[in-house]
This record gives sequence, C-alpha cells and structure tokens, in this order.
Amino acid sequence: MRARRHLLTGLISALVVLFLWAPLVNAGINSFNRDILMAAWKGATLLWYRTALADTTVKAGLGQTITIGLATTGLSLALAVTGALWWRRATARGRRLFDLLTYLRIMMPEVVFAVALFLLFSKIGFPLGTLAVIIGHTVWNSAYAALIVQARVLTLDPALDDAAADLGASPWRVFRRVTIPGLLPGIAAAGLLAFTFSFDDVVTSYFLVGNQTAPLPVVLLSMIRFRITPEINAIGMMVMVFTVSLFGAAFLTVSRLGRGARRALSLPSLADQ
Amino acid sequence: MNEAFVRLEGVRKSFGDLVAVRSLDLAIPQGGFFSIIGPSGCGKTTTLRLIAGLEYPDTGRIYVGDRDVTRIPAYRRPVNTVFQSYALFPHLDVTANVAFGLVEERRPKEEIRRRTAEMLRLVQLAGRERARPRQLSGGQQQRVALARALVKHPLVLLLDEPLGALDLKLRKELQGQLKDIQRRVGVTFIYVTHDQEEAFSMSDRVAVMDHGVLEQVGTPEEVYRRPATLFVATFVGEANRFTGKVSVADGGRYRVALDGGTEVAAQGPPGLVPGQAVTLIVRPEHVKIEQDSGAGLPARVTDASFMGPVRHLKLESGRFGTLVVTQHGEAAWAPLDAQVGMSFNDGAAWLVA
Repeated sequence: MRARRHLLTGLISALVVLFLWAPLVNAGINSFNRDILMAAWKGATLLWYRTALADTTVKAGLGQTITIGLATTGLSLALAVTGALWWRRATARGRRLFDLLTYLRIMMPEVVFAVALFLLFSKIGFPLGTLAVIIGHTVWNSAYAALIVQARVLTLDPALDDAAADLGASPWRVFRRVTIPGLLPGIAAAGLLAFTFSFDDVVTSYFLVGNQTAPLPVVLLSMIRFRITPEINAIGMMVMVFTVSLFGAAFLTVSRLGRGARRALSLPSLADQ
Repeated sequence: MNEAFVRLEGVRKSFGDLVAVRSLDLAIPQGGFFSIIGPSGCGKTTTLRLIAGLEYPDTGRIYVGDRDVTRIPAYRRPVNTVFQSYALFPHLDVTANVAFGLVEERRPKEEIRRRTAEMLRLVQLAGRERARPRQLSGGQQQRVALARALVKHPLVLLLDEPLGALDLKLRKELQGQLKDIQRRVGVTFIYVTHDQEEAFSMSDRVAVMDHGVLEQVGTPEEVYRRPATLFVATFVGEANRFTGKVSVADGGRYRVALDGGTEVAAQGPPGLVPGQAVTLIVRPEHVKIEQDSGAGLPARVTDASFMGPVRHLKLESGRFGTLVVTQHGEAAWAPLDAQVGMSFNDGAAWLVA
C-alpha cells in the first residue's frame, strides 16, 4: 500500500518534470534537425546555427541586448553600492524605508513598471529607445543588486575604515582600498545577476524600445509571430547556454561569498601559537 | 622629557545623552610608556580615539607636539593606532598590511620595501610575509597590527587594549615585547587597558579614569601607594578601608580616630584638617598578623589560599568587618579559624578624603 502510494507520487513528479523540460529538450533536438518543418527527425545539421549567426536582425539584436545589459549592470551596481553605503550608516527608520522601496521594486509585476514608464516617458516627451530600456531594466535590476551588495556590506568591519584612516587614507582612498575590495564578491555576484536578468528580458524591452533596434528576446518574439523556423530553436539554445553559464557563475560567486563570510566569523586559533 | 607632548585641554565628548569624556585635562610626556586605565565605559577608549582623530571633541583642544590637532582629521595626524580587534585588512597579506600606510604617504617603492621588511623583523614576523591575516594566530595578528602602525614612524603610538583577546601566558610574553619595542624605538606609547596589573608592569606613568573624569595621574607607585581618591584606591589593587576622622594634622602626617574606636597614625595628602571625615586605606601586604590574639586588634581567619609566592587570607574582625591580607615568606601562616592579633605599619596607611 505504502509502496504503491510512493510509486504514484513518483510517477506524477516524473511526469511534471518531463512536462517542464520537454519544450527545452524539443527545442534542443530540433535546433539540430535538418527538417525545416520540424515534423520528423531527418538527420543532424548545424545549418540553423549558421543561419542564425548570419542573420543581421539577430546580430543587431544581440549587440543591442549586450549594450543594454552592460549599461543596466553598470547603473544598477552604481546605485546598489552607493545605496548600500548610505544604508550602512542610516538610522533604523531610514533602513526600513530603503528596504521597503527595494522589496517593492522586486515584488511589483514587471509589466506594471513597464507600462508606467511607457506612459511617463510619453507624457514628458522622453524618447523611447535604448536609453529608455536601460532605465526600465535598471528599475528592478538595481533592487536585486542592492540586496546582494547590502548583504556584503553587513560583513564589513567598520574598524577597518578607522584603521585605514588612521594609517593616512583619505575618505576616498578608504573607499578605494578597503571598502571596494571588501564589497567585491558582492559586486561581482550582483553584476552577473543584473546582466543575466537584463539579457533575457522581454516585457520591459518590448514596451520601451520604440522603433529602435530591438534586443534579441524581442527579435525572437517577432520572429515567432512571423514564422516558426528551426533557426529560432538554435537562437534559443545559444541564449540558454549563455544565460545558464552566466547564472552559474553568479551562483558560484554568491556561494563562495557565503563561505567567505563564515570563515571571517570563525575566530583565529590561538592553539598554533 | 617631562614637558607635555600630548595635551588635552578641557576636552569633552558626548554621544547623544551619554557623556563619554567630561572636561578632561591631560598632559602626556614625550618618549615614555603612558597608560590610561579604568573600568569599561570610563571614557579611556574615547580619549584614545580623540587623540587619534577618529572622534572630534565637543569642546576643548588637543595638541600633539606644538601643533593644535583638534580639527585635523585622523588621516593627517602624526599618530597611529593599534586597534583592539587589530582591524587587519583581510584582503591584503602581511606585507601589504604593513605597507598600507607608507603607500598612502606615496613613499618610493624601494623605501616601502625596506621599511616594511625592517619592521617585520622587529616584530619577529619575517617568513610570514605572504600570509593572510586569517592564517595567523592571535599573537601574530597583534604583531602585524603593531608593525603596521609603527612603520609610519608616528610621533605617538596609541594602543587600545591590544592584548585583550589573548590568553594569559601570551599576554605576559607580549607585554615584555611591547615594553622592549617602546624602549628601542623611543616613540611615545599611550596604552589603554582595564587591566591595572598590565598597565603597572609596562608604564612609566598611569592615568586613572572613571565616568569620563580623570581621577589621578602618576607613576604606578604613586597611584598605588598614594591614591588620590577612594575610586583609585579600590580600582588599583586590593584595599582594606576604614572610615574615621582626622584627629591630629601635621603636614602630611596625621592621626586618625577610626569609627571602631582605635586611633592610628597615617599619611595622607596635605590639607586635611582635624575633624574631617576620611577613609584609611591599608593594602593587604601591610597588614601584620600575630599568633597572639592579644597583640593588636582581635580577628579570626575565615579563608586562606596558597598562591605560591604569597598566601591570601581573609580575616573577620568584629568592629572592622572583613579584611584581606597578603603574607610573604614561609614563616607567615595562620590556620583557618585561628584567632589572631592584627595591626599595620604606621607608614603604610594612607588617607583619602
């Protein structure tokens, strides 16, 4: 009886997992499928990858995505670091308010911000396009970045700032030589995360790009509406490999950060004296 | 040498409602080992941070040498600090930690290398140049912190309980090394600690603080033998206290009528007048015990502990309560519950108002 129930739940779980991963597997297989209609397997080919890489719209879209991603990452990090440094010295009330604004940017549906920004930009006459998309991405990416950098700020020892000042470092030099190196793992993780999120964003980009060069995810969307070809599968696969590896790098950095913080907390041993 | 090198004049510092230092006047001579002692919260660390420039006073002035540094920020003051938690930079190795301050001075690379290596030899850390702070033991970290501050050739070195986190044996060893290093480099050391013994063993002069107020400054001997206040008398070592009134005053020599009814001779600060209420301080090593309970004041031994070089006794004396006694030598001993006669050297009793 018991074994059968486990069998049932196991079966359902397996089906769910299969269902979740089936599209990816399907896309992966078909990106190599010679059959343009993707109806049956007609042998392996790299044709679709070649087509995709030769497609000027795709290439322009990729360039645009990277431009937006880098700019978003830079802006988000600047906001996150300055915010975290303010947060470090803020009163409890100031901190709560700051945290509330951060969490709101994460919890609010993305489409709400996208529409709101679209309306605001139209009203004040701010042109839609690359810059508008960068601003839109920064709104929520800076919130994720802030959370990560703040977590790192908590591990900084304020006595280190005193020590650096005592040794002759001006406030700017303290920031350069002590604060930034201390925050570096957090900055790296936040940057990778922001870039990854910006890279695969559709909603904000779609609303705010106007008639300028569309970033890759938006290009994909319009390609699907026009005609579904194996080329889309190939692009999807390339984007997936890229984002997964970026995300993996971000994850590794964060987990190493956690270990570093634990190590910092363990007291030096006196036994080996 | 006796001229004040570091001077604090009417310095006051508060944090919100908490007054950490109130109206402090302090003069610290050049080239010596000066300690500031007091219980936690007495304002000693704040005083140190005021001299370092890590805090600014609400009122008053601070001078180092002839220079008024009251409003000079920490990074432009000719003083350096060894912090209680060491505050070593975790992302830099030992060499880079020690060289940190010289890099900020934009010294030539060659000079930085030479001075850093020299300093690492002085603190016996040669061979650990590439280690990160977390790979070092507590004692080694402490020496990196010391080297990092001394390599700047400061006019004054400030030390904030630098041995507080170490175990007793290591602390004793490093006390000796600190004293030795101070003599060799000749820099003025200002050392903050709550440990009176530690301060006594190293210092030329000691300042005692309590509740943000300076209670007394003097050599360890002066502070121990001639405490200015009751607080100093009890904070610095153990003290038997007897209340009474001055009956005869003759310069620094007095006779005191104790509340228990006995009159004794004592020394004290000038200016006490007959009739004035005073407290008589007798250190444990100045209490004499006779096996004959008829000699001196009668008392009973309630506790005895053997400490090696000395024995500690507790006596119960009806009129004067509990007393602590330290005995030296092998002859001196009194069994538990023994009835003894107790007295003390006239010269050893000291009065505080």
